[in-house]
Amino acid sequence: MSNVLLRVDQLSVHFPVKSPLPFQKRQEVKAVSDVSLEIMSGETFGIVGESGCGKSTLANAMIGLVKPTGGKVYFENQDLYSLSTNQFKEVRRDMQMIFQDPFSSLNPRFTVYQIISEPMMIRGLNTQEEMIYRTIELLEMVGLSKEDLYRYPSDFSGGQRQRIGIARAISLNPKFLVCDEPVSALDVSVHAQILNLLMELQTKLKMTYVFISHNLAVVKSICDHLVVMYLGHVMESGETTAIFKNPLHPYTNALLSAVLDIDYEHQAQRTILQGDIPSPINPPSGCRFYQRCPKAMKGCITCKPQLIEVEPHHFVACHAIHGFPEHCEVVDAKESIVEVKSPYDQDHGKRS
Amino acid sequence: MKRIGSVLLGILKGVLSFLGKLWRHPKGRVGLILVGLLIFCAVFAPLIAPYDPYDVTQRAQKGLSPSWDHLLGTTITTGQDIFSMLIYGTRVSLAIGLITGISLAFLGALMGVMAGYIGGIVDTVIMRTVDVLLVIPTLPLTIVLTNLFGRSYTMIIIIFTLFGWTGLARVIRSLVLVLKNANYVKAAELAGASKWHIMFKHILPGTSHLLIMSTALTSAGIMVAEAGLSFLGLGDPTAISWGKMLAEAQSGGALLFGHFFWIIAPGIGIFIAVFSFMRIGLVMEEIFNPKMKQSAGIYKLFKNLNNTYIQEVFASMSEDAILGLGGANHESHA
Amino acid sequence: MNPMLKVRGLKVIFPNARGILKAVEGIDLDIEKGQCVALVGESGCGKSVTSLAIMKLLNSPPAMMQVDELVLDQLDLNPLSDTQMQEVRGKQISMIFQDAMTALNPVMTVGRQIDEVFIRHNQLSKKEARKATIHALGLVGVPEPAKRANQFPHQLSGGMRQRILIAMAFACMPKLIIADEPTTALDVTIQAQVLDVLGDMQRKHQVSLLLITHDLSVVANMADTIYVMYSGKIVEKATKAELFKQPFHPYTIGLIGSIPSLHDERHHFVQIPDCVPHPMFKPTGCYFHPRCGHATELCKSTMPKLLDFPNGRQVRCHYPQNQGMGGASHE
Repeated sequence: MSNVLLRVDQLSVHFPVKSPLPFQKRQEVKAVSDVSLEIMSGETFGIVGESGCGKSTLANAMIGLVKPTGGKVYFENQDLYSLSTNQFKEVRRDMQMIFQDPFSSLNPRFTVYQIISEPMMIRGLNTQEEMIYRTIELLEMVGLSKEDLYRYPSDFSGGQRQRIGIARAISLNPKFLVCDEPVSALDVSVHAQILNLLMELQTKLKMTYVFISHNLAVVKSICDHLVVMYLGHVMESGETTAIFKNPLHPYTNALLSAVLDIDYEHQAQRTILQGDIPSPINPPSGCRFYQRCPKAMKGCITCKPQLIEVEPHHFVACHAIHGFPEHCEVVDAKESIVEVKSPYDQDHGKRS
Repeated sequence: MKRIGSVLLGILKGVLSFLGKLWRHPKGRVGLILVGLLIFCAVFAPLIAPYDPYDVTQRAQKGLSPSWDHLLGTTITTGQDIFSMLIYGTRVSLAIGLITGISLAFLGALMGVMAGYIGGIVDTVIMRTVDVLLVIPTLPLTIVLTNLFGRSYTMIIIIFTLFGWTGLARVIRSLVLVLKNANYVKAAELAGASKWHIMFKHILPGTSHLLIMSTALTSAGIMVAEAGLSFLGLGDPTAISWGKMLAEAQSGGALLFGHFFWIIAPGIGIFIAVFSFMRIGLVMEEIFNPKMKQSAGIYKLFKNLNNTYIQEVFASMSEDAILGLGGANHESHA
Repeated sequence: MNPMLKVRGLKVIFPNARGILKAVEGIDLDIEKGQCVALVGESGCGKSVTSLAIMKLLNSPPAMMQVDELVLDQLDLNPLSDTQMQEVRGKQISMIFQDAMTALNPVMTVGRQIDEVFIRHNQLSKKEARKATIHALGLVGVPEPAKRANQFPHQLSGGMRQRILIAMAFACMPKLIIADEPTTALDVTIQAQVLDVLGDMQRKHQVSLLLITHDLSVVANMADTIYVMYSGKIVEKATKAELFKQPFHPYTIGLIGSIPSLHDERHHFVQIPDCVPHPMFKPTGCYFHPRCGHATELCKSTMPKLLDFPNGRQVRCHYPQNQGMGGASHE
């Protein structure tokens, strides 16, 4: 039963930056640029990347929290941003989100009951009794108990607060759930609990997940498809197994090799990237990654690579893989432009 | 209608919980008692004051010194009992202080929340209005308006409210700008909440401590300002207020004739009123900034620590102590 | 073996109005010269407090510290006054903090901040200090060090700031560096860079490193010896190989088991129930027993002692796992 639940088409989200002087050229934070992807019903879709890559902005745009400056979002074949206000609210009830920080995601003045029942209360279709009953049901589903009904968030630990947030998110039986780094702010020994809970709920309630994380090992375990983002662009996308078996994009390669694995004996050959992550304000033209890419060529500076299928269910946007397209008219496009700046920016090889 | 009812109920609940917290704090208790005393005097003035200063037939001989009949003497100009005037004066001061303070709070909060949360053109309009209002000098304006529309306390309340909400609105707005980025606001948006729902259920309660603190402090300021205006003769000439008492005392020659109580009494009245409100306001701040309170208390705690107990605690942690004993003790006394 | 750092019986408590918060309950640490020792634990276990305690940076109030032995390369730190400790800090022990943005002075150029270390401890002149600073920046791999030295912290990226902290820490070639979660706030690729720098500097200059973190993957790639801390007590001590191949303590086993690796095929995460106890409300007996699958009546009533094993291994458990020593059988 795989049909497309959510489709993103050439999505761009650019924020204007207030320039300090009145006559300066308007700068923009190009958080997300020209991203297209499809999410199948029932799957877990991963978005991977480092800071500034736009993953949170992309997720926010997908569920209607941030209006895109370009492109479209189709949820169940409806153009999300051209719906009327009422229709929009209706559709959005099927999309919910779990936030990274368990401390700011619950209103400290609300009781647990008020927090979890708020979506129901806003919708206004249930009586008080029904809401209490349902809230107790939800609490038990996430591993808390009905004694917690009238307590305040400050009585709970980080992991428990995250559970409350999850209960709130699933209260209206959404079809689509965005998990924005759901365990990063929690203690390590609690990660597994929350992740297992999320997986359990997905099967039970038949939801589609978008899972945002910088923890590649977790992504590998639970995501069916994923996209690797860098500075607002998709670098590589496709089936998780395909990407991890055969990471093609130089950035994906570097990312995977940089991950410190707990299985330290199988630590991969490290590709250390030069320099730091540039700012998404006025990002580099052409391929956004060329400044740090170990395979950068002259043509990469001006020509933007397209996402092209390399093997079934595996797409990469890289000139080094596909070669330069015809419309890219740069002389000596294939000339390498990689410079070594410091001793630490070279390939360091396996760690002892 | 139901919405407004639940909002008011929420406000009432909030206020009651603050009062509770105040009572527990020793300094706050003082403030609360004094304010209670003042309110009591204002409400039950006819029962407390031995004479009714408004009643012309109850005038006594002018310029009497304090005696058992007239605890603080009588005025030189009219023969009214000063003590009664003091009691009746609470009515004016408290009324103006509280009414203005509370109206200010409502207006300022509403404007601040709308400017901060809705943003865009609403924000610009409100903030520019604030800028304009701040520039206009209140005192000359009051003088002009009272000459145009007659001198009354209603006029003073209106003017103070219209010009005083600006400072609060600014402060609330900055707080709202921070609050609106909280994830629970986003979660409410996702659930389909309207802007008003978010503003009244999430944002406004988040500013409540600031509001109450500001109301207390502003009321104190207003009382002083009112006293000043009455002193200048801009208040209601028929009402009895402490500022007016001071004015009369000065022009009536109290200093000249050594009639000090006439001056001191209203002065102390103003002092107590302002002091108690400010105390409440400052204690509020301490309550909501627990770090402030902690650092003061911890030194005292350390001075009073039972050293042998501490040594026992340390000893219980060492490896030898573990043998056979029941692990960690967790008695909760210091 | 004369350890570079010897800590015996370190205890830290925070008395407050509601009782006594026991942050660190009697821990022993040994760090050899040139070794990287990791102190691993989650929030509330007391590891950050430990690092501050070693540097004697805990203010009393609100903390109270007691230690039996605190010796840095034959220099007894215990009786030293704060003024005397100031000579030691920066020169013989230095610290790298987690958040570079708050650890650096925002109104001073980074160059000047490193200069200060040289001027204070090595008594260099301003010019000589600047030369040494540029050299230090080059050592940690900062490109164009002379130019960077004149920049302010907010002009640098997170990874660069962390390198500045590392340069500052290594400036006087101290005997011991304490790094408190040095890369937790950084991105994956930057983390790799920074840890490389740290590891290389440490090995090249034979500086002892105490690495404090909650991230077992970082530990797996950097440390020689690992101390696992739980709720104020050391529950396991082992070399890296021993710890990951054959962990003894149920907490360590659970922790390692719950972290997925890129190289395994599992799709379900092994979970530890419940959560870390609040430092003010600790359980009776063994602090881990409410979450331990092997807990018995003994575990609920009595805190286990730290048992010694051959090769310097230690475990605090009544029933250490994975080595058959009375492990599986309990009443």
